[in-house]
Amino acid sequence: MSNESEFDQLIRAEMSRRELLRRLGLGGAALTVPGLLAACGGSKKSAATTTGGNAIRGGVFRMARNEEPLSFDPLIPSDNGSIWVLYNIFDQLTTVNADSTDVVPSLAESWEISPDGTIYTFKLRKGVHFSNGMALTADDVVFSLQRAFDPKKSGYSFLFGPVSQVKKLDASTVQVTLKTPFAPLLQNLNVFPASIVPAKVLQADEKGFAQKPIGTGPFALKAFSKGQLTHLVRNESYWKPGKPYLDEVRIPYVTDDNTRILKLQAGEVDAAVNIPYVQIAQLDKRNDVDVKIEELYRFDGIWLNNAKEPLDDVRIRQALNYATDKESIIKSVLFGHAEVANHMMPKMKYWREDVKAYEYDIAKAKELMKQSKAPGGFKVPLVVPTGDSIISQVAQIVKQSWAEIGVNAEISNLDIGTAYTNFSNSNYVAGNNWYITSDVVAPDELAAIQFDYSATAGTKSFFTNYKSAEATALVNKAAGATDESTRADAFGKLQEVVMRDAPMVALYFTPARTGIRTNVQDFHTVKTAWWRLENVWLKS
Amino acid sequence: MIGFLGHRLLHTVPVIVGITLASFVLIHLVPGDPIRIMLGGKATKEHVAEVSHTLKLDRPLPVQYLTFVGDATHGDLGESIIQRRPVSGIVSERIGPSIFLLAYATLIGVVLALPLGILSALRQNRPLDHAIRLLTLVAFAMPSFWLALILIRTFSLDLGIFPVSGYGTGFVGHVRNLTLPALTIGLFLTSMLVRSLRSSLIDVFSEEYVEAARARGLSESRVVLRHSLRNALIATLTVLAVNLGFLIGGAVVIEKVFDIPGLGQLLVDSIFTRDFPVLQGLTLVFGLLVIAINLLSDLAYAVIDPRVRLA
Repeated sequence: MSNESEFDQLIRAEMSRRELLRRLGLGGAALTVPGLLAACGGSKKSAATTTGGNAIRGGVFRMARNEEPLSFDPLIPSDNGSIWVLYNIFDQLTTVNADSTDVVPSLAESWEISPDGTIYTFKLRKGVHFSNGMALTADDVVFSLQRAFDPKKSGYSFLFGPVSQVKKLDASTVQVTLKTPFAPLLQNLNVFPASIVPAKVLQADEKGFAQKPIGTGPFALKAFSKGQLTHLVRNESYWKPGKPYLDEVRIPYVTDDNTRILKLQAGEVDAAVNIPYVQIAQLDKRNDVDVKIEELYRFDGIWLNNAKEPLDDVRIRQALNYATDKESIIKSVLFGHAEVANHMMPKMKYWREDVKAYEYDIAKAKELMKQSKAPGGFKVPLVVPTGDSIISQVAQIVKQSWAEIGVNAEISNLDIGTAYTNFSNSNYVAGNNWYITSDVVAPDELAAIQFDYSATAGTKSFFTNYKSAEATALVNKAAGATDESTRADAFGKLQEVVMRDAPMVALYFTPARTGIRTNVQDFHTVKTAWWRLENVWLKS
Repeated sequence: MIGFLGHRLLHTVPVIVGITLASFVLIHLVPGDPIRIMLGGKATKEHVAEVSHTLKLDRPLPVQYLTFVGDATHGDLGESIIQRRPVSGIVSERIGPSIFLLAYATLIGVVLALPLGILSALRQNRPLDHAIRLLTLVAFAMPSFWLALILIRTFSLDLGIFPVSGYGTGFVGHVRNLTLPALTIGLFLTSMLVRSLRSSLIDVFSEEYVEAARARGLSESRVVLRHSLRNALIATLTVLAVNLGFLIGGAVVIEKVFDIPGLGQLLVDSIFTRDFPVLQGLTLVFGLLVIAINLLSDLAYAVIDPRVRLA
């Protein structure tokens, strides 16, 4: 990681980039920057985490999480509890690069793409072994990919829509054939269901594999006790020389926010995920703990059902966007740790900074309401999943500001199961879902899910029921294009279109907040929200 | 005694059937599709249908219930939808920590409550009695998660005597890890038990047979421990049994704060994810445990009071 991006992260924790530029313009870099550094307690300590170089081998890394795995078969889960551990046990053909903008070779050493973009030929890395000592073969790769592409077996097959065939050419070459060109294929091949598994082991006992996984990743599962601990140990046959540095990774399951922080303070764990916003500053003040704020591919917004009256009127959806006071929510609920969203999906590759976010403007919102089909205002049920204190607070602020334009938000708390099921049956009006994250580094996955009503997944623009021929065309144009400029152009236009059509109320982009003890080095959260722990080492 | 037990056990059969049927109906009345929850919003319709078929969730509800009852009679509680493992395995992993915690908490509660309750009754309306009553009131009114955090701050962070959280390994590990949570629950139990014991002891003290015992010149300890306490304990035991029955699945907050992999946390998780088979299995186990606790307390009545045995 360069100094620049480290600096960026540091700034983002305190203020938006635009505000920084403004300040720099006003006050001059020399004056403002040291002030900023002093204001952010974590800065001096975190500078040490980018040294790399002479890493020390050995040690046990303990990380408290509020989520735990359900299954270790890469094909089964869809929960982050499982997924983020899978990425440390398994490899895919491709892996995420240092700044999470693209993929680089992993189990595939190199690849060739036919000029028409429909045939991908992968050269497999030689000398790769599974954690049980078996050598990786082309048959394993073919078997794993076929499983991932099968819509009956895999919940993520839609990521490989146009794939028609996977075959082995020789002992170290695998070929994937597409019906039509599909630009995000390499990025999507990094998704966890496309993890490479040992075909023979899995076929012998599919159910058993879900509890005793075997992969080629940096770590192997030693033991898992449900409700307590995920215990990983170094994969001695890992193909990257010298990696991983850690002997063991212990991930205790600690659901309570306060307990996670107390364990971190007591030194019972070396890292704790999901530090509540309200406690970040206080925790970061300690000399032995540092809170890492890292950008994620995550978009927070208020989901609206565009098929329900009167939310089918674009002017009303725009009015709601103008009437939502993002800045004060970020200030009072997120303690500054977010950036107002100028898109209806996460800030990913091809994101444009120049597209305007909806500013908080009650006058404009009132004007739009007057022209709309409900000029006198209306009532709207706003569903909040129970137990989420952040969303509850946000909903309260939203309710107040919407009331100013005559929209009466009736907040109701539903347990997450009910809220989610109603949502996925389009049986809701507003709320229910409040954020989305990307599983892959290419924006195509979310663009298709969120804005292409007819996308193969059948998720109806992620249940906003937003139908736009224009957006659909742009999503497909981007996916089918093989050159970067066409893709950048299509995604750029898409951002304008969905911001204009406002299928949701855009709120903000929020970061990962991980508390780590200062002896932990090179801990990094990938923007797709997981962590690859092979680079982590402990200073004695 | 055997007849007494057998009679009690027979009564439990309709109770168990009632509990499982009611929970089955209730959980299916609440909206929420476990497959959708498990697979996430991005899953395709085809995949949802396929999984639902594999897990036999597309069959009519009465068939599902009868299958559950049929399988349960020979010990098969089905398979978790979310974890894809047998429910019996999942529940049996969690039952140990829950019972360990409750037994430990009961021990703390009883050891503290007996002397306090007796002292309080003996010194009725005197300063010591007021002090004990005030303390138990405070212990009763204190939110358990807050008390838990105070205990962690003091004993784990400041003094470093006990770990912040977790279940530990081995008997000694469990004891070390469960001391703070058991103390949290134990103090709550103490407050209930002291108040109950005090009031029943005061009632008993005014009985004629106690006056008679005193009049015959028996020592105070004999009057209190032998003649009064045995009669007063019946009501207190009932209070204990009711609370234990509640705590077996209701210690969720404590389990959450201290990361104890117990039944309460499993219950809440299963409700949120609509994991029907686990919920069914859990209600059955809770039913059985509550019945077991009640049987044990019935047995204890019989030991303490011969009249119960004869009735």
